[in-house]
Amino acid sequence: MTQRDSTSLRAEVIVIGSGPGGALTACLLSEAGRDVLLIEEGGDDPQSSCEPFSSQEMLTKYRNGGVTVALGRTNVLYVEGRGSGGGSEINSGIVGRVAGETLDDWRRTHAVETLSEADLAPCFAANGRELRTSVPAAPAPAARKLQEGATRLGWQSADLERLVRVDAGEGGGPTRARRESMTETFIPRALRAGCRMLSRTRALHISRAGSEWQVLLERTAPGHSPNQSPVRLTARAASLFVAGGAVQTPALLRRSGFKTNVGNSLHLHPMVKVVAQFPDDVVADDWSMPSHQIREFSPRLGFGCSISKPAYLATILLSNPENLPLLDAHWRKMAAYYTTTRGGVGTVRVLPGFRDPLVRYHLGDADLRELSEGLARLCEVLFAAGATAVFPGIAGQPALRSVADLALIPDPLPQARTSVSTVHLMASCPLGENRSVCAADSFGQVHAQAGLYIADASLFCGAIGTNPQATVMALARRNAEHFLSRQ
Amino acid sequence: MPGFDYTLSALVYSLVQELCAGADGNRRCIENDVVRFVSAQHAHTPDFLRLPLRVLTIVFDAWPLLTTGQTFHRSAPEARRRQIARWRASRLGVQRDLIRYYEGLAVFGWYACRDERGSPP
Repeated sequence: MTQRDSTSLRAEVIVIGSGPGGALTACLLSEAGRDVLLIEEGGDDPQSSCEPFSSQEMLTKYRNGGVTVALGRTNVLYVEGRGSGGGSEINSGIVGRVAGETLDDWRRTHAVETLSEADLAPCFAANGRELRTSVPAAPAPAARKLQEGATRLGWQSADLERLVRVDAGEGGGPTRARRESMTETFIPRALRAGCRMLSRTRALHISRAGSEWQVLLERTAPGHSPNQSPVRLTARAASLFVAGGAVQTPALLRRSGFKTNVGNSLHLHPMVKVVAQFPDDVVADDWSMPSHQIREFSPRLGFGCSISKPAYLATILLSNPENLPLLDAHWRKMAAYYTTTRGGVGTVRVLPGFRDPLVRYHLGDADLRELSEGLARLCEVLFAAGATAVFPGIAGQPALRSVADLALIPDPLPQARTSVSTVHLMASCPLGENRSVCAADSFGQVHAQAGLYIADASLFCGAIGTNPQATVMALARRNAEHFLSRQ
Repeated sequence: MPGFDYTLSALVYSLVQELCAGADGNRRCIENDVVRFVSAQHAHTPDFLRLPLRVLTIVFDAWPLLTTGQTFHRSAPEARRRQIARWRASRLGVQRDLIRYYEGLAVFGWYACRDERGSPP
């Protein structure tokens, strides 16, 4: 049962979604004097409300509790943030930039105007000035292993800059690292500039109402229980930015009847993980994400460290349950690593009668061959770093004990037996002037829909091969500045 | 739907017993935490998957009725283990997927809850 509220909220601009794209857009427009209403589906829990990478965090800050899957011959498990700050509250905050060659490709294939490396550089720089970043003074042990292996093989690798603020400890105590997430940065700035924010409020439908955009909203009370009825209300504004992420944005647009090139070209970074066992301890003092990546084969193949709490190691070892007992004996000597590619393409669709969108993804033989190559190279670098065993997330795959065992890695990886996951989804509503493939124009306005914009990773024209948050924010800044200049 | 809840609980206990070792002094509390975690996760599962998973879980529970006269959740531990093993190795993908779904949540939940109770491996 849903209650109706006759309230109709009004603003000059509505932004749906408070992740990196939405929060930055709301902040810049508010500071430019616009009357902005920011809508967030999830709660407004602060960053400190739960332990990072805990079961509680999964239930409160991940969409669907982190149990989301893109269906296909090879299913791809994926996660999305849900709540104030979106993905920035749960991700590693690694600062990656889209390569200039990738932007050149986008200009060729999608006819994107004014989007070269030089065009985007001031936006990266401005975001860099406004957010604090840090590089770990001493890499975590698991990251150091990756670095050692890369050095021995002569591969390029680097400690990564992260959106993390390091505060001095009180009274000379240990320093304290905090994510420079949206709830710590652009959302408070937006609110100080007069932005209004509605959390626990889901956008159900958008439509044209005269010269304005109308959003049908459903709001739940704090601590909402199934017995409580959500309240429906509407909001109107001349301009509407949709920033729900690469799955929720096309789902909302399609549910509202905007389907042209929407949700047809989802890309992600398919990821295969391994657990590596070393002769010495690799457990860090804290559970922060080890941030070292190998760039030798970038952007085609990526390699890095993953969260290595026992629960995360266990889910990789579960591909071959006979290896699980090793965890109890050796977990301090174990760390998780990944390889990613840019392969495959998928769709986002709305199923009649259901709220959650159906995501499908196709990984072909060539994609699974590329993942196999990535996995072999990852194992190679881990053995170079001194790993005594590597356990890939492939059912029926024996543990690899030496470089000679790399020949045992199937090529292509087996469709049904490989555990593939991702944390980076993008490109479901690409931007550009090529109307045969693009959902939005070169600055994010949905084609033929004046005043309706997209402001998240949906706008990418393909997978970028690096952590997308910094590029999402650079693009959001560029598009917000363009919006303001045109008003 | 009590039948579903009983089955989920029995299945999670059986999987944890089979796959997860340790935490002797605290085991029962952690197992209870894991059941609550898996139940909460199931409630968050995308809606178009939740109903089929519920139905399939109930089918799983009723599966041994014809042969043993007992539902899964009323079966002895050894009979439960045999049924899980049969579904895990089934030629039907849907049966394998059901076990994989609960295995993933139960094993993640076990190590996460154990860690959060201050009892890492």
